[in-house]
Amino acid sequence: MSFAGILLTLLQGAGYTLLVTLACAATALVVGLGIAIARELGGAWLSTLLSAVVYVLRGVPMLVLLFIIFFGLPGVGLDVPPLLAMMLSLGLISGAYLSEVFRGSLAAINPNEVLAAQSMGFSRLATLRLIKLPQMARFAVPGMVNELTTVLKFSPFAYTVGIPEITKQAMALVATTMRGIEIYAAIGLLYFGIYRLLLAAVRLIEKRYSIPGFAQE
Amino acid sequence: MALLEVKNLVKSYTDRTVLDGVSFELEEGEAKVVMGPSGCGKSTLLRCLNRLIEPTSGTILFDGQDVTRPGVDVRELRSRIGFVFQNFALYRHMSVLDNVALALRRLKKLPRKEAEERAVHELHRMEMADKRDAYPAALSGGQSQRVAIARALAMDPKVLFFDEPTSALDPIMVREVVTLINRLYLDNVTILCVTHDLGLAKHISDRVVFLDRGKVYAEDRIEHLLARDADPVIDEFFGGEG
Amino acid sequence: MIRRRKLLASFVLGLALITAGGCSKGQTSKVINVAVTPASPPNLFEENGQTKGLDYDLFDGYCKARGCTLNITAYDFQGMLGAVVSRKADVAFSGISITEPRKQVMDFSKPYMDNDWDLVSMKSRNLKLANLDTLKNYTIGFPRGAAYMDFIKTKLEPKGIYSTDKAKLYPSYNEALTDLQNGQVDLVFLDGTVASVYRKKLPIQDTYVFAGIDKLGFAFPKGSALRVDFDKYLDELGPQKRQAIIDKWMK
Repeated sequence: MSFAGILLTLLQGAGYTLLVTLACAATALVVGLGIAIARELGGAWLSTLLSAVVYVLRGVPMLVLLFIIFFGLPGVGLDVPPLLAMMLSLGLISGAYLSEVFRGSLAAINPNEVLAAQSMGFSRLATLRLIKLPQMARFAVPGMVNELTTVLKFSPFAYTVGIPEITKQAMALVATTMRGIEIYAAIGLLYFGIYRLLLAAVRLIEKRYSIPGFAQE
Repeated sequence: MALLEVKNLVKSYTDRTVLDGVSFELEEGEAKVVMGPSGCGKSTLLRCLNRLIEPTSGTILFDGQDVTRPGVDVRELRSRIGFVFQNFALYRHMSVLDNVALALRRLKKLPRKEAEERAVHELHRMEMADKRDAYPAALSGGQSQRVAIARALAMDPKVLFFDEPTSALDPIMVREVVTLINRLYLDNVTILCVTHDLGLAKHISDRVVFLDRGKVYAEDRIEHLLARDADPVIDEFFGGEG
Repeated sequence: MIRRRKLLASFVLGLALITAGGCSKGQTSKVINVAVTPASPPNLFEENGQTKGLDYDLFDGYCKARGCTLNITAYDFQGMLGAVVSRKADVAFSGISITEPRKQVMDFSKPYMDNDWDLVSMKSRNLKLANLDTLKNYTIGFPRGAAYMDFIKTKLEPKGIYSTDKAKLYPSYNEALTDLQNGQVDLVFLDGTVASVYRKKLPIQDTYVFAGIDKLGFAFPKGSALRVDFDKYLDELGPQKRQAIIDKWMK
């Protein structure tokens, strides 16, 4: 089997890798945004509770959480399908990290702009929606790209719960061909390719919404 | 009856009292300046008037309505007061036009076209209509000031509050602002301006409220205040001008 | 901004529903969920996207006889065992040894073949052990979750022959053999069946053989009715036909 043949076989897993990455990234975005917004609008006790949740999630190894959800929950009668298990572990943890990115981004907003909005008569919710979130999103881009890359790099764990992504293809291939070096090199290339693909997509979105001179102070 | 009547306004925190029984009135069409040394409470005063800061006690009557009693729709009150901030506080993620039109679209719920027409009209008044598509980062201080004023005027407020309008401007821009504010005054806009800029006070005010350590020390026309150089407090602040 | 967020939320929800729904649908012919580790030739491996191997042939024969379809999911070795314990899979097979600890958490079919355990090393090192006296001087590598661990703990450690903390663990045979070739580990524990395949592909040789030490079985969740039926099938198949299949793969 030529190197090209190896690449082709591995590519069969690429679709799953993308699926897992995007699903977990989407979950992370929803979770991170949810936490950030809840902190903005909720009272002190909610903020404290959420801070505790984020604190715990950031300290849990993703694989451990994944195994608890996928292999452990059936013991109490909860059967979780593999992709959902990935979303609930990798997505949740990544969401916790994202919420911290958003927290920092919100702090970068000029507080006078918020005061100005309130002085105009905008409610807390309206100020959040019209002033804070649009600015937060733009400040948070580097942090979000970072998290996306991290999610991609953790996607191989999907193999442990039976999702046939790239790493699984590689293991099956190595078992029959024993050409470990070539195969691992090919995986490296593939992951790098996917990474650049995702980056390009992000750049496109960024350009669409960019604002001249936004980040200057 | 005055447009704004402030009676015995008190704002205290656990460790200090910033406003210690401030009283004054603002008539419709009047241009009043609030001055005083740092820490006298002038910025706090402005923010209490639109309840950005909650007063500890006292009464504020705005347009005949007691706005300090509970149950007042604070947001509705604020929409009737135009607030121009010290560093302009333009929304940097929106164009000039969107900045001015935002409240019209989201608070007054005007359709986009109508909101933008009104916004352009206000920008025209401030001679900034040609910059409608620019973003705040591209504007100079004076330009940002005009847009901030246009934004405040767009909602057709009963009064315009200025918080240190000239502190971020160079002398040329200051003169422009003075001209602008006077133009508004001639258009019968009611103005309450907090500043420590004596030149500004001289050129735009009918009367000046002089605050010292949270209390109204004096209220008079600026020339009369400056003439009272025998008064140690006044003399110290104005430093022998006049 | 709101529209985008709603889109995102519904995308996530849709994804969750798809993944939740797609897994446990009843179909017209009975579907059996199978867990495998395609890294144990000739018992179970993958070629051109097809699952193949000795174990597969045996179970496929069962399915053809009973009229069912196989839904195969690949895991790493531990994941495969975990899948059957947590009942996510109805059966697992990839050269799984029947051991006492495993019997506590899963049910095994009748043993379907005997197995040697080979300790292999690189030919270039010319390592041959007549007995186990010097075993403790070498590092041994094998997959995490494999039966060798329990063997070392219960049979070798008490006699002072070897200890578990000297062992190096890997996700599968692949990585253990790679480390063997790199000189990072001295010996690798291989199934006799697996060794028969790799001996042809890699310059390895047997350093010591534990002959007939092990029996392979098909793993089922505890209390599985499928297991009872499969045992019946093995009886129906008979020892000669079974051996024929084994010989086909082991030659």
